Amino acid sequence: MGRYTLRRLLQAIPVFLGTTLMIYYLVWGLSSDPFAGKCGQRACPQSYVDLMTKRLNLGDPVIVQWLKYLGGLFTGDFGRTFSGNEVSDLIANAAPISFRLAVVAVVIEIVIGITAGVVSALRGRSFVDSLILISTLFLISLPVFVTGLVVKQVFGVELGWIRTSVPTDPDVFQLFVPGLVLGSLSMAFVARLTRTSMMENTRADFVRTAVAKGLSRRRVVVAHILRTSLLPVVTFIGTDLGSLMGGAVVTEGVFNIRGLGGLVFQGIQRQEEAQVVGVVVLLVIIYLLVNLVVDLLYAVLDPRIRYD
Amino acid sequence: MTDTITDPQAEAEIGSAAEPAAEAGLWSDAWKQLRRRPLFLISGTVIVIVLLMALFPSLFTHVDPVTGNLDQSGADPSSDAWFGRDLYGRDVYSRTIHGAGPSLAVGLLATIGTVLVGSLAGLVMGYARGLTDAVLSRIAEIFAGLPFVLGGIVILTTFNKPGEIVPAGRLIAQVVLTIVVLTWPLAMRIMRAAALTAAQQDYVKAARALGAGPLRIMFRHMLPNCLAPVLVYGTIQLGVNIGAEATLSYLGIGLKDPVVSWGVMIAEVQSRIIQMPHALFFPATFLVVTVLAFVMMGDALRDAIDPRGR
Amino acid sequence: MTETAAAPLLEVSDLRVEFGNPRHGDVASVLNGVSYQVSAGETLAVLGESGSGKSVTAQTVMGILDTPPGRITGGSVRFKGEELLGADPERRRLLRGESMAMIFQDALSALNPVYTVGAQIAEQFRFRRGMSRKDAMVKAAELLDLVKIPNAAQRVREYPHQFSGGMRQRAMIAMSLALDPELLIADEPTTALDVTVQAQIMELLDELCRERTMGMILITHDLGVVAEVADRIAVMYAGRIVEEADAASLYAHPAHPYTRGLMASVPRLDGGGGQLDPIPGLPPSLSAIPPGCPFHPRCAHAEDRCRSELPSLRALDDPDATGDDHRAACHFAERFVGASPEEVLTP
Repeated sequence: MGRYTLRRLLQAIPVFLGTTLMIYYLVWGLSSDPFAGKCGQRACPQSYVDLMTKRLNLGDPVIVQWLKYLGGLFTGDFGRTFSGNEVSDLIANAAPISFRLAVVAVVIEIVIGITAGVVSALRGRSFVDSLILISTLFLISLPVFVTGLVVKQVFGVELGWIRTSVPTDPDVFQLFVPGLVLGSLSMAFVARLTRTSMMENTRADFVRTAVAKGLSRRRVVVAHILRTSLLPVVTFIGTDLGSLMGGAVVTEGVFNIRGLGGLVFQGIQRQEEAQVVGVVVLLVIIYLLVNLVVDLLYAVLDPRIRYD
Repeated sequence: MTDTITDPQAEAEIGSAAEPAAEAGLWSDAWKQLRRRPLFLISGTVIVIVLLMALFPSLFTHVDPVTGNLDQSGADPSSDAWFGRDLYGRDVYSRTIHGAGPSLAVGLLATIGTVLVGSLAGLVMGYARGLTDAVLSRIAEIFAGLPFVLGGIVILTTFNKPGEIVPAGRLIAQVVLTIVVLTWPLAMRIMRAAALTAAQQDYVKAARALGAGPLRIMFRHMLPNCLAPVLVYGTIQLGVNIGAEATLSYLGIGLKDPVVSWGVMIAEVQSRIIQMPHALFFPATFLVVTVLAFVMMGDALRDAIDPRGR
Repeated sequence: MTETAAAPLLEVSDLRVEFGNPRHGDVASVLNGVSYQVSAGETLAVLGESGSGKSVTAQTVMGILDTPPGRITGGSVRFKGEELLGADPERRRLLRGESMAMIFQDALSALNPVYTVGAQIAEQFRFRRGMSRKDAMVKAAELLDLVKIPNAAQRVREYPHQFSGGMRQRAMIAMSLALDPELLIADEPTTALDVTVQAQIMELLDELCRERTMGMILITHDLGVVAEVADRIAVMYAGRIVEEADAASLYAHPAHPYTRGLMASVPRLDGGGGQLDPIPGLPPSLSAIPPGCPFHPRCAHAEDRCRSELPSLRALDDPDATGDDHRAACHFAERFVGASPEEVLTP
């Protein structure tokens, strides 16, 4: 287990370096003049250019800039925007909201997705099973922004059941509908994966053994079929966090939530490269960390991995 | 080795001779399965109709999709314009029909790119294993570590500053390449898993032992056995990529006017949905139905090829 | 039948099972009237090729037959006089593990990969006996020790994939013994193992049965496995018992051409018997069992009668057998029963 953890940690390092370098290069390395359009129609004053060049290390080659940026990251310094805001402050304000939204989405995804998958698998060929299969296919086909716009239009504007936008600092209940929209795609995948996995395991030899041991149906289903079937589901939820974070950018836009997604957009609109890089790098770090945790969790859940 | 086999190549041929037969069995069985599946028939019909719309929009409409009459801005559906008119008074029906082409083209090109790049990488990794596999795996993780929408934002805004006017052809190429760059690792993983299994098969080992070259082993012996999962993935991904194009266009970083795609149409109407819901409803419905058709087709294919899930 | 001491431990009679859906017309008759008995402390070996219905019979007895596709269409299964077919599912569940237990061919896939071996044995103590997790693990370790797994106290915390094939099968046996069953069904317990390990496992099973006067149904297609441990042998073909006798008589005077064929197709360790004669042809498709004696297309001695009339299982006059113990389903069984297995009979 210790060796496995170490190996996974070591594997995450080059990925982290590569991803951040790629982002950094795309955003800073490819723009010929970072000051173009920064000061309205006129060229920026030389004093300002000098100040920012020094502060952002723009005089260095991109690779050196990137290394200095990484050095800053380790002290919690995400850089500063052209307008003088600390990116870490911006993130500190926005992240809790996005985090709440993500938690709501993941909880919905897990609870509804797994429940639907289990029900569908246990019922076998039935109306409920077909209904779940078809509705999950439908959800998979709906891009998140379409779901968001339609939900907002139908339930918000026409039926008036929900508010079309959320308050500045929403709690988890106010984030329920956006969370549902955000989690809907993954929820459908989780439901289908749980179902397939359960149906495969229901016919497994070890389930027959459990039945032959005289265990109750409940014990067989929960401890043997479900427990084993959740292994691929756990992996999926981990790897799916990337699309969840991307979806969060879209969902936040649809429901006017001031989270990290908003920061990215604002950064692009105002050409605040530091803001874009800061948020994207943060999300990549979270993504890698969560994946690491899920991998380790997987090893805990599946002893065959642990002892390889 | 007995003296009856003198030519290593001949033995390799024997090894591969058995497998097209098995493959043919798999595919023809799958076809027999598919023909009876309502899901397959429905999705197949939808795909054919959408393809016709993309290739021959004049079969469905003769109205110009780009010029509008501002007097009729946001007009409701009527006998004059079945799906109503958008903000600029353009015929939504005509735009929806003409939107099929770019939407499908981006989805298809991106899928072909993803599958080609991903499969090639996966095949090489499954064959070579070891260092090649480890290095390529890490590289793929770098791209997979970038969530799709975020990566799309970073890449597309780097190349096109906000407000910049970009020729349609270049924009389409950029969107396609962006999708390919960000999604190939998934195709790679699927192909790699299949290739690793195929590399363990006895006929592959035999071919290897008898000195068949790496290219021959990969393409003659391993590839035919890895096609099924990649095909299923590709079909579903085609639908997903059509949705991805729409998402990027919706965010304002994908296709833009004057190109007509479903995503562009939805993006244009997003701030005025309350006044003209029909301008959202029709392109969104066509988008979802098309994506659904490809996802359903992929699902039916998987069931036919791999019956375990049923 | 009343529940008396005279009732055998297990009595299967005229058991019939079909697979498939009659509406689609693809029905396979897997069991066509199987009857056998097992007494306490007795080992019955059920022999036959794959597809002969050995395992399906066992699964029906255990109540773990998958329905669908399986369908029990007739017959009875009595355990100590109690009818099991149609009994309350909860009653049947309580019998499993407690009164009858089963071990499977492939212990690797029959054990759950995500739990320790100990936890899987302890499960029965916890959920059937209400023991605490800790006590149950102690009992599990005792059982592993009983089946001669070295270092049991430690290995109880290991996972199935960390065990060798033979050790896994021992663990499987330990698991089946947990609730002290009266009947053990061993479905090809040694098929997946190396020959040397096979002998050890059979020896262990034999020993345990004798110590605990436990009845055992040993399902196998391997005549060699049977010889050492079986008290009685039933030979199955196409969902029927075609011959049944005590082990010694069956070996000495096989009365059914199929049994003779099976014996002739096994190499003998003592070097006797001359050449190997595999049985020609294949077992019949269970959805199209030939009329008459189902074995007739493969039988060298078949006559017209065999093609039209189904032979019933009847008692034979075997000088070595006790009472009417030797039974066979062949029209010409009397012709074979007097001959030694090596004798080539001319029809």
